[in-house]
This record gives sequence, C-alpha cells and structure tokens, in this order.
Amino acid sequence: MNLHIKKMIVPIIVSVILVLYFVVYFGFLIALLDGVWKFILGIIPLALSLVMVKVCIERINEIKKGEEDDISKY
Amino acid sequence: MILVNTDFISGKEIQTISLVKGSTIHSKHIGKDIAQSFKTLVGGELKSYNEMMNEARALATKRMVAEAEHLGADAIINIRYASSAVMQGAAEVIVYGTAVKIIEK
Repeated sequence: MNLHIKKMIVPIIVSVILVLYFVVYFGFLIALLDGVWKFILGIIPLALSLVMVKVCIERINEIKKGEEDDISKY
Repeated sequence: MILVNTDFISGKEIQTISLVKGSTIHSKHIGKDIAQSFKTLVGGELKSYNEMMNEARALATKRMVAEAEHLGADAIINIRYASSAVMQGAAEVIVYGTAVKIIEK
C-alpha cells in the first residue's frame, strides 16, 4: 500500500470517531435541553467537530505534500 | 549589526564590550490552543506554535540588538538561543551573546 495512504488511515479514523462523538453529543443536547440553551450549548460541539475536520484536512494535505526525511539528501 | 554564533568575525579584529540579551514570553489564544490540541491527535506540524516560536525568536533578537546598539556595539558574537515552557501554552525565548566593537586597522 502506498506509504502516503498508510499514513492517512489513523488521522482519518481518529477524526471520524471524534466528529461522530461531537455530533451525537450535539444531538443529545438538542433533545434534552429547551429553548435557547440548546443552541447556545449546541454550538460548542459543532464548532469542535468543524475544528477536527479542518485539522484532519490539514494533516492529509501535509502527508500528500510529502514529509519524508529530507535530511537524507544532505 | 553583524550577528554570528561563532566567537570571531572572519577578517576582523574585535574588542569585547559586554554580554547582551533579549527575551520574550509568547502564547497563542485559546482558539489556536484547542485547534493545536486536536492536531496532536492526528500528528504533523503544529503550524500555529511554530509561528509563535518564530515570532518570539525574532522579538527576542530585536531586543538583544537594541541593547547592543545602546552600548555602541558593531556586532554580536557567540549568539545562543534557549527556550522553556513558562506555563501551559506559553513559552519563553531568551537569546544572548557578546557585544563587540570592530577595530578598524
């Protein structure tokens, strides 16, 4: 398997698990809370899931760009 | 101002003035801290902290140069950098060296 693809597996799995966790948490907050509090508190897990997606995409781009040990060239 | 990490300046005779130093403590705002914490879960470069340290090094160097200029130095030799964590998410950078005057022959 391509080295880059191998490196991408764990970040993607970790990101998917955390995003699912935040989305489920958001769902519980929406179901259990009333009124405006459900949106005020619900924003937090949503924002964190977006941050998680962003860092995962950043990591995937880093891996695609190639971060192999360049020091071997010197 | 010439800045070198050697104890000499090639082709120049120097006269020691004094020890000079510069330091700073930097941190990032809580949003960046949280994003970088998430980045540690997937690995890779912590760009925000890297930028923070680059800014801190530049500012500490600027302060050291200002101290050397105040003493009338032409160069700083034997420059060394050091850093340490002050608290969670905050790092101190200190840079020091020997301010010298170049002797014109």
